[in-house]
Amino acid sequence: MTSIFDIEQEAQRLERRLEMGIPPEVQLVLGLKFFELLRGASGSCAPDSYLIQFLPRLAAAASKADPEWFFPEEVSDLLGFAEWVRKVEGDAHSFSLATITQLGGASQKTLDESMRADVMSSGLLSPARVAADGSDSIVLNCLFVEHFPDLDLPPRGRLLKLQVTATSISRKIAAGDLVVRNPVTKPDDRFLAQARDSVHAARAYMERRYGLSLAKRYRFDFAVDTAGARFTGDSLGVAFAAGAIASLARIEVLRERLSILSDVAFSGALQPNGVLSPIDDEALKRKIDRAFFSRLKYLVIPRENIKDAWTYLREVESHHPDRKLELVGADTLDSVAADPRLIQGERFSSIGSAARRVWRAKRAPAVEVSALLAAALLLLYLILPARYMPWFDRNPALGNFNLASNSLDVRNRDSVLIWSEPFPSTLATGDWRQLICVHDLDGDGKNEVLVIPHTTEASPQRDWLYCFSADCELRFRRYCAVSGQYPGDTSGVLYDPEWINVATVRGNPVIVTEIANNSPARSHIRFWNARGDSLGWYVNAGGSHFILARDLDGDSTEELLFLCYNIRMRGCALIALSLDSASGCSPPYTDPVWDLNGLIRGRQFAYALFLTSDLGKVDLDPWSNQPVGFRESVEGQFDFITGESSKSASAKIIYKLDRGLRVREVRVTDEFVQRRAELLGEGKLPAVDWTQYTRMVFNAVSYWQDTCWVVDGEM
Amino acid sequence: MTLSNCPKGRVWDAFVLGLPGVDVSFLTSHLDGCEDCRFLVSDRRSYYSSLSSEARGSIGDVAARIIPVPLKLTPLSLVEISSRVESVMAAAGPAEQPSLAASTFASDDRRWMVKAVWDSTTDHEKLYVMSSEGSTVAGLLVRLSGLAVDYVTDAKGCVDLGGVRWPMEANPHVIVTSPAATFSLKAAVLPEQRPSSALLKSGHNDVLKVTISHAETSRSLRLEIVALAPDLAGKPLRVAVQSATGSQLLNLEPVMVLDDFELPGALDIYLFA
Repeated sequence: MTSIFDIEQEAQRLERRLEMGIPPEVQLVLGLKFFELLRGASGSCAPDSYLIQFLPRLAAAASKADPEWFFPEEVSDLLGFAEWVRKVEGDAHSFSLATITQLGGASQKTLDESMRADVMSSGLLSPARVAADGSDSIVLNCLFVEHFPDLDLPPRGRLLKLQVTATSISRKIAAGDLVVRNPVTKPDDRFLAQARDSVHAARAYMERRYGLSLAKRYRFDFAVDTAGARFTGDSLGVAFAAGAIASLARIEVLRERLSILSDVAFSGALQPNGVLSPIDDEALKRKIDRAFFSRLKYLVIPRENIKDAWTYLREVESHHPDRKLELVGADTLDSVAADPRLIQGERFSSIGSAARRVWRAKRAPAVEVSALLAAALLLLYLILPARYMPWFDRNPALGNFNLASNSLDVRNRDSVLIWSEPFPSTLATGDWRQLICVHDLDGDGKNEVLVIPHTTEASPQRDWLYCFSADCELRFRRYCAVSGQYPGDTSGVLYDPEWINVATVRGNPVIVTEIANNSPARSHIRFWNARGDSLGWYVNAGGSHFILARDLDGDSTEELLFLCYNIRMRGCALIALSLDSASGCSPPYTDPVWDLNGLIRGRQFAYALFLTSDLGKVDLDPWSNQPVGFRESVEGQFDFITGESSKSASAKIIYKLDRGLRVREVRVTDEFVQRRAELLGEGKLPAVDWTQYTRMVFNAVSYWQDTCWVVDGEM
Repeated sequence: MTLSNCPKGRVWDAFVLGLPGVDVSFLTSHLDGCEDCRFLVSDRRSYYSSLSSEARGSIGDVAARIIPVPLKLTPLSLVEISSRVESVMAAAGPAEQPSLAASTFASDDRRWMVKAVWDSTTDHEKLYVMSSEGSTVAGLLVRLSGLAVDYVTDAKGCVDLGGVRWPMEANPHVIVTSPAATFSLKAAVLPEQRPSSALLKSGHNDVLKVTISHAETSRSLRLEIVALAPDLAGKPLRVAVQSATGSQLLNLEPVMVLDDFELPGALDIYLFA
């Protein structure tokens, strides 16, 4: 008779075993075994304390247990145990019992399905691609025998999922890498050794079958999807190798894709030369038991065991005639890998293969890193303002006054803002682009920005030239007026900035600033070098506009040409100034209104005056013609064009000049003729002979020479 | 014979109840000559016969004195297993040091065992007293080292310690004592409006009168010692009243009233010396 102390001894033993970290399925089997003992001695020992002690833990184990782990008699034990507890304890442990009953039901269902022959053909067990999740991992069934000598349990076959991942690593590494993700008690045990042997055999097979170079290096990662499983590495030899083959096929571009079928289990040790080692008889039976009571369709075993295996299988099948398990005997890894029942090869088309090669190429580390960097830069480019990019063009190309922010905005050639310089005084409205000039003054490849701010009122900035470096550093500022040189140039007078240009004289940049004022009308022209040093000045008796720099006298030094008005003289003027001598004020030096006697006489290379025609005196108010055009027609010749009518914009006179800026020919436009005819018709102008008329105009062009105006005939 | 020389009322109660230890011949002859005592005895007989027959308890002392003297139980380890199982198998995984969910105590003669179990469902510590000989484990007084409170086992031999984790000292032990007398009152249909009484008798002729009365909102239980066996008389005793809903352990007094007492079923009363 079993005493209470016998039962307690078993309880204490169970208590310790449950704390050993054994798999939940084994915990349940041990628990059932104990309660079977208790039930046999129920007369002498009430089960209450033991149910309290163990039932919650067995229920927890049941919640984690794999329903497919249990054999038919164990499923019956599970369900019978739950029924017994209900009988003796009522609803006291209903929650725990529900979990155990649920597990028993699921296990029973699994067994029922695997036992029904029609399932095999119904598709429930139809081949399915393992790990078809798009990852590079391969998952396959491996079958091994677990031993429990310390738990007083017989050996039993166990089916687990083996996950295999292959990763390409640098060829510079001396050898491939191997990782086995499963608790291993001793790092150098057979488990790791078998993994190495299997990988070796798999690599050799891939080299023979697909020409995959042995020089390539891979990292193989093996993981069994359970903790606490007890197995030797030998059992997993073929599974390791099959997984390695399929995982290599995933990451390498082969002519076919390899898939391990989900209703296949691999078992048996594998030698490095790819030959399967036989299994001992007892382990063989346990594996067949396990495979038989599972969803498997094929079990791979060494061919040497096939005869004994069939004998034992027939014995098992005699009790379950509806269940069919196919045993696949194999000698070598090659025969396993080439068996389409186990590993299916899906051949790619040429296009598909090429596409795969392209796709794989993108996964090369160098390509991936580059692509990643490019993507990161693109992202930064999209997120950050362009000026934070290293390739951002920081060379000023143009500028404008931003009236909204009252600042000078400087942009690159793509019109992207580089910097903005605020002005303390209010900028005047209007198109003042002619007051900003961007030029590389110092020849360093970066443009400086020149600006004459036009403010609405007197300010420290008005009439001053500002020169900023490319990165907005103020290089210098200069006053553009020439004080006290012309009537009206008194202290505090404000000018209107007109133009800022940069000419090139003898290869050097010359800054030309022009500001103007009225009463009397005058323009202050100043020349500056790149450092802001004054190179000369000139005051014209009317507005001016720098046109170009040309070497007019052949001394290799360019003269600076200006289209101008000469309000005192009621005409247009063309001025050529030489930097070497530019200074003074333009003629005239006498005037009925303004006292021009004290003016410093201007030193100009040439000063030509084009008086208003009789048409202009009628159509223009005030009747001063306009310098509307200047062009370099052919080498050494210029066209100076004046506008003579406000009624007809094209009514112009074209003066053809030589390099000394002497008029050689005069032409009038058809519109000029037409307009004059109209005025003739209106009786405002007399009829003329056009030859004589143009000669008269020709003769009306005056040139300032030394102290007086002269005409062509006088020169 | 004057009344002052008559036997006391307690003696007449024992005479009427037929308890041992009374001189029946003396008392019978005394009654012949004493009208007062005849009246008194008649009255007592009438009183005792008036006790509710439905509430009359069964008399028994199954657990009484099965443990003649308090029994000390000490820790018992029946399994000698290395704390770390060295597996020859690869991938067996490391074994953790077991933290036991139960503690076991046994008497030196290996007849009694006490098992302390933590009930994870209720978060209560529970003790189970077990007998190797199948002796009753109900109504046993359990004293635990390190705790000042004594407990009485229920019908399954269980003591619910509630949230108290025990043992909590280095060398724990358990002392188990069986009751000196047990009284058992079967479940009865009691009148609601008037007190009901029962006269309970132990196997050793201890007599206890139990009266259940109904207050406005609850019941009260009145315990009155009618007679005690000679070996208990004069000793300090404790009484445990146990119902299906719990138990109370009190120092015994000649008359005790337990208020707010629930009586959903059978009632067991234990006297501990």
